[in-house]
Amino acid sequence: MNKNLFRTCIGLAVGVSLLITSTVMGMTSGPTGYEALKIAVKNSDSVKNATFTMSGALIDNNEELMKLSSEIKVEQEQLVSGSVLIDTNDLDRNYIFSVNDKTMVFKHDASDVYNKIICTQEENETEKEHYEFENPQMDAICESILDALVGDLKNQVTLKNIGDDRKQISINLDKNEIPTLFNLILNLNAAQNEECNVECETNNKVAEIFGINPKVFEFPKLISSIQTEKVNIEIIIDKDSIIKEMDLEFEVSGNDAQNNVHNQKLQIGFEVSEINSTNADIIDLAGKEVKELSTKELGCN
Amino acid sequence: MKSITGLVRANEGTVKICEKNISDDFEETIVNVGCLIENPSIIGNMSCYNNLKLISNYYDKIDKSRIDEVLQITGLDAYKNDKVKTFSLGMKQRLAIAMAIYQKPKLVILDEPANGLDIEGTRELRRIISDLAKEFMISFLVSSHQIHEIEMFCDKILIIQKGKIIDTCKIKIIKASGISLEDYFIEKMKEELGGDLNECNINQYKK
Amino acid sequence: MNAILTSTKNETFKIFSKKKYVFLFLSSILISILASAVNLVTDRSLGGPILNNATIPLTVLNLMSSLVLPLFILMLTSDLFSGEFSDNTIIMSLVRPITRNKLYISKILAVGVSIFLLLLGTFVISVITSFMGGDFSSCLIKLPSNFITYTFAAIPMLLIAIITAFTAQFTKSGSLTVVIMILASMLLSAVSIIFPEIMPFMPTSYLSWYQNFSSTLNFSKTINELLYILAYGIMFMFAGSYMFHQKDV
Repeated sequence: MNKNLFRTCIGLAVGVSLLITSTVMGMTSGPTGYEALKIAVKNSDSVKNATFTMSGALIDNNEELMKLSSEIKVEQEQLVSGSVLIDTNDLDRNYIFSVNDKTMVFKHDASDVYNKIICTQEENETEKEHYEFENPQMDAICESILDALVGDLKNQVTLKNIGDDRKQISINLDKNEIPTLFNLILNLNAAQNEECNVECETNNKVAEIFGINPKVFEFPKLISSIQTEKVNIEIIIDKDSIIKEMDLEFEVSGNDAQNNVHNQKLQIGFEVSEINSTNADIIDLAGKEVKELSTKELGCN
Repeated sequence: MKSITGLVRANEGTVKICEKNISDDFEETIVNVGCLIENPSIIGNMSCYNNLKLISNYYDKIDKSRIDEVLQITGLDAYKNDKVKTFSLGMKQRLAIAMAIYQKPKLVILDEPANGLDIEGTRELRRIISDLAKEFMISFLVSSHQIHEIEMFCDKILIIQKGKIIDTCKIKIIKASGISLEDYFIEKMKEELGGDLNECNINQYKK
Repeated sequence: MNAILTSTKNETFKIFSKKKYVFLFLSSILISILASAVNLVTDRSLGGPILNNATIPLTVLNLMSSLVLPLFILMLTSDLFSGEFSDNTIIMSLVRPITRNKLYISKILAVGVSIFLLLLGTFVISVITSFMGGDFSSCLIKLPSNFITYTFAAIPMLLIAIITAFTAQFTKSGSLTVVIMILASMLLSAVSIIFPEIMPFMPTSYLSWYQNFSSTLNFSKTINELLYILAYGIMFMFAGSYMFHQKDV
């Protein structure tokens, strides 16, 4: 019996030492791509002052349907300024805007009128109450649930050093790696009713205020056999794990109502700069033509 | 009996069978031993033949024809392919004995083998044990409370009381002295316990 | 070594002679056929296939190893260990020329063989059904990586078997072992959601280890997780084997 006990103890000792070795190994090997991504998202969320430059394009069957570019300067939560350029076949507009405390001002280049919207007190307070309920324990549980949902996609997130203390996180999914649920949702969504509801009405009103005819955004809509062809996301983070650049490419193919095959691509490029050193350019309304708008028509923020 | 075959761990002492120690050399020792302890240990949803085939795999040196041989010895060859769960207790006991003697052991341990058997079954069992002992020179270690059974086919008895061996004796000698085995047993117990045997009313025995 | 091989053969024979396991085996394989059928049906009604044909093998594997296989293994292992104690057939194997340690190892190996056969069967069926949906070339490209993933899926499943065998040493009833294992795994999942720090130490978090092989291989992570699996496997194996050795029948 002694021999057996001795052998068992040796076995248990080997097992425990393997456990310790792998724990140490796990701690020293650094984060995986997925973990780096989560850290980057958390750290970037805490950035309160930066300049965001974005450019995007929507392409259908190799024809550029819409191009969008913008530069937004965020000095504080309620001190933001920026410009947005929208370019489609029928529209070419450049908007400038600024938000100062509860006042938002914007104008587009085809008109000299400055639009002004003032947010009322009550609406701001309800938002503040919402943020106070967050707690770290709840966050941890949500994170575990998210990890479980992501499943084996975690392995598709890769991390690479690109020099200068910067790292690149890449997610490259081709047709076969897209989770099946994703395609299913796309198909189900497309099969829904086309009737205009309350949200649609609000969107139309918003479009009117911005001086845009909603018909300009009528792009070929895919309604059947929708399949995601490619998803590419490249994120560059700096040494503090804050997202500096992000490039997204999303390609989908499907049939429209007339059963024509469309291949649609969405490309978005994103850059973050001047962190903690951004100053917003607040528009000066002195001597300008101003039109005041009611918040009830738009809804604040 | 369970500690002899290694089914129960002994706290102290050693067991040696054919000069081999069971704790040190289990595999080599147990080859010489077959056993049927308490209920027959057989797999119900397999046939007779398959049960024996399973154990035959452990003994490469023995040819597979031995399976048919033991089935014949124990009288089960007609039921070779029947599922064991349909067997009566007597037949299950016979199969268990077949499995115990398969490897031509030097010692077979039987714990209360006639327990639950009817008269025919018991007689059949006696016949098989005597035949095997004589023909194949196998020693049987049988434990039983049925003293008349023991009297009928055993050569030597061992009386154990509270883990101590009180007496060993050859049956021939006991019978020659004219007393029954039962009386002999009671007398030995009385000696051991100092004359205080509850309701037993034995006054004298014939010499 | 010979004794272990013989005993493994015996135990595997015992497993496959039980009707209920053959039935479970076949019905598990049917799931992959079901997956393809679902795919074809939804192709017509929703205008697009739900399951990408090239990934049917992996989807089926995920389903199998998260639900079907662990239950199968729990039942199988608890029957081989505590089940044999309760219906007394263990004595038949204990009085044979094989030490208790070797018997223990051979029982685990027999469960391993069954797991492997089941995975192989599932692999073949799911590959065939994935070919049926068309897109032959992409299915073919993924074939070797799918095969490797399926093979390595046996390793975490074997860990489940080893842990179940250890648990079975404490009970004399097959169903009690299954219940204890299910409760324990539910408890572990609940605890690791509330205290995520202990997740790397829980054996349950490595059950999907094979997923490392279905995409670009992160070598150090894979080896790290394999070490954890090995560590737990060794610990539970030795502990279970010791308890089996000491057990009085």
